[in-house]
Amino acid sequence: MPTLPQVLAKLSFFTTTPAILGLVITASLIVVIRDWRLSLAALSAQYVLAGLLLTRLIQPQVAVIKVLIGALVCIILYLTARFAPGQRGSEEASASGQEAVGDMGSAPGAVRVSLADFSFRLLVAVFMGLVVYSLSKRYPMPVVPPDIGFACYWLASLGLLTLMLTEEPLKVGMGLLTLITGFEMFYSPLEPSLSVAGFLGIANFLIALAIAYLATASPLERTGGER
Amino acid sequence: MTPGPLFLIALPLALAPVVFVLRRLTLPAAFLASATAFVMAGLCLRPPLHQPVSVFGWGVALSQPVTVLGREFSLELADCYTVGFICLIAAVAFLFAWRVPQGHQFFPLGLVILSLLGAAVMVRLFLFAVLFLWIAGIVAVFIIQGPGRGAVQYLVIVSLATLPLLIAPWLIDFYAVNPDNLALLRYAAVLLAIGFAALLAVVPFHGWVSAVAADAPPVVAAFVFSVTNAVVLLRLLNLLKSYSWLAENPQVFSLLRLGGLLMAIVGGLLAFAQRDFGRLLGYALLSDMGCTLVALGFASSAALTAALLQVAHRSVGLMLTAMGLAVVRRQAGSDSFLNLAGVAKRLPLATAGLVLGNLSLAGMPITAGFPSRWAIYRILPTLDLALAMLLSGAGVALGCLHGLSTLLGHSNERSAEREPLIASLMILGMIVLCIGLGLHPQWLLPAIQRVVESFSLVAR
Repeated sequence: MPTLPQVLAKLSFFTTTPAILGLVITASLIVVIRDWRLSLAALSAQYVLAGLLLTRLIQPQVAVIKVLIGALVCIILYLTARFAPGQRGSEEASASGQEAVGDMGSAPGAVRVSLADFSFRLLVAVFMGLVVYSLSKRYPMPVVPPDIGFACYWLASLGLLTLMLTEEPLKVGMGLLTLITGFEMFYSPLEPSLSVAGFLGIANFLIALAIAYLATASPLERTGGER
Repeated sequence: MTPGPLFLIALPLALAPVVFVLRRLTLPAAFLASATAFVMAGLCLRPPLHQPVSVFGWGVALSQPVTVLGREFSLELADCYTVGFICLIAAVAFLFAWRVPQGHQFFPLGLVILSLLGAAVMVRLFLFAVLFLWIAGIVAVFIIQGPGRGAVQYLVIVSLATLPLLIAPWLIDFYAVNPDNLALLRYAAVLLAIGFAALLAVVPFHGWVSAVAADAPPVVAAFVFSVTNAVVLLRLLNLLKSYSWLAENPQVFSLLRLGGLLMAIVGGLLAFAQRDFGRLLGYALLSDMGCTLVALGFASSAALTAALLQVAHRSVGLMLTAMGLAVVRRQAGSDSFLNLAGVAKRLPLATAGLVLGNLSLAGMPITAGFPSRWAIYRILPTLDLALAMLLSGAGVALGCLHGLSTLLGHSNERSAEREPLIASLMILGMIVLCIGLGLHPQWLLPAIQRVVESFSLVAR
């Protein structure tokens, strides 16, 4: 059975430009695509790619633990999206093409709104890309190499953008976790302490649980029926 | 002998699972949670600090530091009072939640939050204090609940505030080895300002306060606001005490004054425009916290005393408002002025608590909020500033009086529901305390002055 260093050596190709490109695509998908399955798949891939990039900066074992925490987070979010009553509702609406319809009702109208929403998000993501590019050139991040600095900026900016564009708890959670992943890529080499890494892992895990709780529990259940 | 910090962190954490198991049996859960918080408060507020005490036969040395995984936890006088203060608030909130349910998770998770905030107070390294605060904030999301977006907004703002606060200590440490690079300190100061502004709800980061106040069960909202605010302010003061470059920078204090002034103005204006007691509570709090920040911005002993007095008195006004609102919301099913016509006749004590609490947050005479506000008005150097603070309080008071006019209005609805007796007695107790503190503010002054002395570097 190959050891961790052997596995990482085989994956070394992915710890450079392909990983950065992958992160650009995954974070963009989270912003642009409304379907939770695709967004969640993108988030999972994002954790793996960020972990691979981090092997260049921190101990590989710690990077692997971060990927495992990411996997746990994605499992929690998957179960939430799969079984939460609200999410099932939006799933059915999505299947019948009623996503993002608002009050417009009719199917052609729904498709138009959906397309407009998609185009708007794509356009904003492209603009954000330009901002990130110029930011990473003008204010390169200290300690981390320029390509990883760009990835940090990209993830943090698109995470922030997701937070601005949505109100749904699950999507907000994905945006927040994307932002925190970008932050951790910058912060982990600055603060290599294991206890800090542990705290960040706990925070990620608790955020996923909190999001799952907010997305799942109906208001009546949450308040114990007193409202 | 058990070190005090370890005891204060471990006790609520150890009892939280027991309370969790009992959470649907409100009476034992509330009493166990409340008793735990009372014991902790008694331990912390009982001077002197260096003398070992016995808790149910268990020896506890409060002043004995403890090191966990290389991080030191210790209790100084200000930390001790802060932990005692937040435990006292928690004890009252848990006890009230026995009669007016605030969600089943409130008791166990409230204890977990107490433990985490205690750790945030007692850990010496700022970086770890921020991490404990962050995790406490995430745990609070589970009790904020509510049908709206309050919990999500709180989660986002706490997380966004944490990130710059985590980077700042690294910049400060980096400056220690590169003393010529003053830009590092500038960046650190900016990051600290952003992080603290978000945590203290300084405009434009204030949206979450009204959202949480409207969404969360009222007593939970009051608990979260009071305890987190106290801990955040303590860490801010500790930071100013630890780093002279920060405490000697006049821009830091100008920023505090400006932020506070904006909060007070926005809070007062928006409170005046509210037609909902939940949101009114949020904006009243914003206005009051703004006054505290303005006072802190003057960095004198008198100003710091007034600010800390206001923090303590605010919690009484806040808890009283929340208790009244909890009863009104439970019995009338709404916070909106439109649906509360005639409620005052059915729920006189809850109405009195709700109105008096709000007036206390507005700094009206005879209430707990007045003495600290008056002390703040007196230290303000210009009349304009004093007038702005006064108008901010007036905005809150007018918003509240508008609500009162509806509560006193006529309703055709004949409700058989009576005011809950024990909850009403608790509200009555808080009303007495609120008026008592308004008339005799010197009760708390000796303790507050001792804390102010420990921050002599900040309060010049």
